[in-house]
Amino acid sequence: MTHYETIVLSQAASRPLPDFLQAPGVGSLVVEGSNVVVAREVPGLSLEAETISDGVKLMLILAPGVRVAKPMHLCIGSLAEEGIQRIVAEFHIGAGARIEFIACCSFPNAVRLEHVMEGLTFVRPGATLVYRETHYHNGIGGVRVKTRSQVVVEEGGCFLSGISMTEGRAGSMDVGYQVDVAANGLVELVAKGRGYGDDEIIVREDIRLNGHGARGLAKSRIAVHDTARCEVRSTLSGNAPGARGHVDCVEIVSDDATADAVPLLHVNDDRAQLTHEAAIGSVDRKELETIMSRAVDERTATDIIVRGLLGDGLPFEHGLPAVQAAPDNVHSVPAIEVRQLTRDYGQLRAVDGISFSVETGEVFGFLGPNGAGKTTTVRMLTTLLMPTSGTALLNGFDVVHDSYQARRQFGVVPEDSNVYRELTARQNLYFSGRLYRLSREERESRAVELMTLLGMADKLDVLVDTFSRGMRRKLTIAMALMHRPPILFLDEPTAGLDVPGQRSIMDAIRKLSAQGTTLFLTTHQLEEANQLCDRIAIIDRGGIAAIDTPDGLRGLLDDLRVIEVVLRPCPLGAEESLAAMRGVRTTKRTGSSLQLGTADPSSVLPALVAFAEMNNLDIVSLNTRGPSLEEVFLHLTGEAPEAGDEARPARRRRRRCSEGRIR
Amino acid sequence: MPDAGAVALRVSELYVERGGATIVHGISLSLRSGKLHAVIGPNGSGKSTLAQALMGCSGYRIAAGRVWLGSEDITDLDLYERAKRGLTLAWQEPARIEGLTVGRYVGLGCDRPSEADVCRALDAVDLEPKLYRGRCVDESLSGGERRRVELAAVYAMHPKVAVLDEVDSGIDGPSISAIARLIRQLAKEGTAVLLMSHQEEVIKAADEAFLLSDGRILVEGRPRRLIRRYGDYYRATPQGQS
Repeated sequence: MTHYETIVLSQAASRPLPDFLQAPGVGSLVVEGSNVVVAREVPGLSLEAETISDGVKLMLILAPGVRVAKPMHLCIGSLAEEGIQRIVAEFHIGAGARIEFIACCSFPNAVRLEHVMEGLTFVRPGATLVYRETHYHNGIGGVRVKTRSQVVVEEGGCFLSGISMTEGRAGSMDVGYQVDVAANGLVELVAKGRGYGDDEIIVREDIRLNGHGARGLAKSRIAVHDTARCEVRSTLSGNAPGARGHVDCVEIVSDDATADAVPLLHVNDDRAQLTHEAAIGSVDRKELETIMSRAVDERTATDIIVRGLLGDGLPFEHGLPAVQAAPDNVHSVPAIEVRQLTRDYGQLRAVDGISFSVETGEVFGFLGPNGAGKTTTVRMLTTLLMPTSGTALLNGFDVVHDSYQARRQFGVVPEDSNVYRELTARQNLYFSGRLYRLSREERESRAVELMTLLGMADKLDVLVDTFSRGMRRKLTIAMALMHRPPILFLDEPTAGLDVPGQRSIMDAIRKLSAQGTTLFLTTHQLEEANQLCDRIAIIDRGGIAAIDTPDGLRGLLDDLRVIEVVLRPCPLGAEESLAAMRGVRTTKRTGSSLQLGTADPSSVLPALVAFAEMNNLDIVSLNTRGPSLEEVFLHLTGEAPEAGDEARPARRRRRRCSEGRIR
Repeated sequence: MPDAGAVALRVSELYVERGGATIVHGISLSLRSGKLHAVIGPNGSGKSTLAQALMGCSGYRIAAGRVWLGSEDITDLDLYERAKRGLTLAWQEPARIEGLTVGRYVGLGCDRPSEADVCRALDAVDLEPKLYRGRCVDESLSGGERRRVELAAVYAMHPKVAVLDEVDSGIDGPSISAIARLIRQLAKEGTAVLLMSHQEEVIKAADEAFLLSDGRILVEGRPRRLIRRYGDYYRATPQGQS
């Protein structure tokens, strides 16, 4: 779709329109300078466009309840070299209606051209407006764009708006939004831009979360080079209980360019929760080196990272808000309760309607092959990822609607340690304690207590940079526990550790469990799960294959018994001969030991002994046992390792979601 | 393809400093084309430092000793110059990069990456190309998935020398077999592979192993022999001690 709007704009006056703008059910509006070239309505949408002295005045009204299936195209631009184009637009999206606009703004010949947009938008109760605007400027930087949009999102309404100016030079861009959000409304503003020469990119966002449960995200990704300048001023006001807002700003600067990020958070109701993260600077060194280690030079690597950040689209993070039930107020609530939890990535259904609950004080293992949906589930439970649908409660607090309270219920131990290497263990722990507003005394006593519990009391004032991986992992656990959370999530706690490291982490887990902490453990280590967990859920292809105690899981394979035999000598091909015996279902060799899976050992044993006698083999040892957890796991997930076989059957790990759910 | 068995990388009396402390103390070793070399040792013995110093990562200073790639002394070359000459690293904790697709990432090291190359590499690490190619190497991948993508990218590059820093941690049994197979395949196609690992299944596939302790090579030899003879020693050694 690159530059099609330019073609439209330049050809609009004289030639027929491209087919896609004439397709049935597609609304379109093309404005060049102060001329309305095309204005095509769709059922339910009324479109008025009127020429004013220096531009166009627009009025779009979508009737209540109308859901427009196909995105409507807006092409607004000018072929002039200089002058001014002013667009005054009003959007009214009726209650419960839904529409998406794909807007393109193109100024191919601009030398000294000003484009001014003044917008007023009403998103009525339960309505959804999605607006993606892409700018196509030339390489001169001769455009001065100034937009001022005022938006009102009423109860349960949803406004997702993105603007991208990453092609050509930005020129001077000044984008302004002021959004008022009522109860349970959602607003997401995304700005992406890239400036060269003396370009200037200014983003001003003012989001006021006025109603209960209103949510807002202001996200910007901007890269400036040469002597360009950028400034992002994001103001968030939390004016009601349960309002949640976040500012996420990344600005990359090279050459003599400059950048400012000014997140302003006003919490006017103490039950509102606002957060921000801003990163300004050159490209991350580790990201650069990771790419450069593939023989990519620094300049290209920087460009790859910047392009990734700026992306070629405007993906929104929250998608559409799911309708969810209010939290239950049952007396004895489980520590973790998950109902019909689902998450899609585009067309990929990573987690598919899973339900389970974990009791207080339980050690719960979450097992599955790589890519089964473990990480996605944990990210949803820890409020890092929005579920597509379904609910999850932590001690009764909903991770979506009550995330502030939900977040106080848990600590997280990520697989990759998140400790600051340039600080000491104590400084790391204090930092973590400050995040949860622990008093100085509490921080001091808790730090000593935890380091003692984990057997590292003597390392409190040692620089983390000198720690081994196992010690860093233990410190990460301590950091997650500073605020005494009742639930602890551990992701692959022993991965990459040597045996003593693994043992000391497992000891720590047992101690925590004994103290009443609920532990949620994702792991690949079946033996570890077997030893530690009260119950285990096996997740496969986004769904739960089984949940039970380790013994209960072994019981699932009631009809599988295993005969272990060591033959001396153990001839090559013994496995094949044994596999051919009546009643033998599986064979496996581990070192000198052969394992035969069977439903009825008593019928196989005589044949086995006969085989040994016939071939002059000594039976060094022989015993029968029930199935191991690994055998249960392989049985449930179908992920049996094939012995040295090159051609493995292609596996499909994830399901595609049903059509129509995602655009 | 270089001659199988020829020395592809030679390290002589290497000392590496990180943050003022000397971590690697006079390591010498040779990697041969088409061969698998494993470095084993407890956490904190200097495996990752050695890996990153060989790649030339910032923050790892070579205080003494030389590194040759083929007949060229690369001690004073930076990371990119080393990579350009055919040396690469599969990072233990590879960076997460927003908006960069798995498909693009895997093809980074290829001259002209084709769809087929990328799919073959993803298949080899047991990630279905159709499902993973379009995803991004960002936080949405789990640790195991990210490391497998990393290994696929190294494989697609066909490097002369590949240093694999614990690419197998956090990866489950069936995929480990796929990874062990891929590492063997990498060597079979002529790459000299240096492998840092804790997984004995992977280590056993190596032609030669070095036991590292406190930044020094304690002993070298056949991997099975090292595991048999010294396994108890390195498994039982508390981290960070010599």
